[in-house]
Amino acid sequence: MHELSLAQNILSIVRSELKKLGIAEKRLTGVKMTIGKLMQVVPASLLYGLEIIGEEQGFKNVKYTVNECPLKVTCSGCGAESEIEKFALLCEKCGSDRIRIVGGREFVVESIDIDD
Amino acid sequence: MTEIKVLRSVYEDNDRIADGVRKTLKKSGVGCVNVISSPGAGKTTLLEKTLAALKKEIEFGVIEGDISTSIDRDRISPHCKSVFQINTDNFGGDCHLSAFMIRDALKKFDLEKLGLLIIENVGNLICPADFDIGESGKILLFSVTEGEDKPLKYPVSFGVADAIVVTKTDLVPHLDVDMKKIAANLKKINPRAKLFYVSARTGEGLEKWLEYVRKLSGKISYSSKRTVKTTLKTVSGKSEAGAKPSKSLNKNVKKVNSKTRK
Repeated sequence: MHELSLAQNILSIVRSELKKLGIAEKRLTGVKMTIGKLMQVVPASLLYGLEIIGEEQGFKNVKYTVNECPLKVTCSGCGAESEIEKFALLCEKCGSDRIRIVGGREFVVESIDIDD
Repeated sequence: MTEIKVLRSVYEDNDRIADGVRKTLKKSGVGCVNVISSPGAGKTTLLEKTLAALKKEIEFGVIEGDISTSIDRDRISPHCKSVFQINTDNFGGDCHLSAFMIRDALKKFDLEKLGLLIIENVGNLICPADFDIGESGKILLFSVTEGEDKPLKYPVSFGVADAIVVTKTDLVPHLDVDMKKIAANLKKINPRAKLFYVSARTGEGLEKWLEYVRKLSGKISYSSKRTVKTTLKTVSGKSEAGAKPSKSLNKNVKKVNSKTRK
């Protein structure tokens, strides 16, 4: 719903990293991101936003890639770690509700690709 | 081509500010809840009833979040002196409150006096769940008119809630709604949340909810100067809505020095 402002955040992070490393912005060729299933971000909308704003801000021919992370929980009862397909916060192995969310809340800029 | 690791959170700015808000509130001994629901679930009405019933026991602060208008602030004002309206159309019409809006709004409150800050988020069942605004708990409202399958359709908002309040229960006889199915779906999505069934209109179920709110304001873990060494103000046995505070819970309620009250 707010993918455009998230795209802006991502580009700000990329720009600050490039500045920190002293790399010219035109050398950027790719940005990789990880998005957890719990973050309610629509990857297609985010990518569209990144392309539109990125282009406007001078990032030409940059490839944006999203790696989606599943919702993962660990069970305090049986100790199992499970991936949850259909959203019900229960241990997939023993059905206990005494679980802790260990994956699915990620939303990070993983890496940037730089043209040598 | 060289790949350079970045590993920075897209929400890093928001989360940093939210942590700051949480620290500020903790330092002043203020509990804080983020109230989330779809538009029209009855957040403001429940808030009005809650404030009317507990304002003699708890020093409340309220932040109202809406895209536009100060209608909700005007509804809350008769029950609470410390109320501040955020209109997100000043920030591009955001569909949720962000941490920086709360950080700036806190300047309008005398935090040393507050026991509980209630933040009514923008009516929206998606985005508010993703943005930490420095709260210590999330409360989700869900009215019986919204359909039994709402928890399944919006699993993240329902899943992250610490408490879920099913509202407008007085309407059940007029609807085809299956309350057993609502209960089952809520349990499936979030078995850990505290669950309340309330009609703000008739008062049904309100007492149990008010008991929960009393506990929120008395965060024992919060170190407050006032909680430690103040003259205890006697908590009235009767509130405006006729609700009687339970004795066992009163010990958890923050005692406010009468001198510090307005």
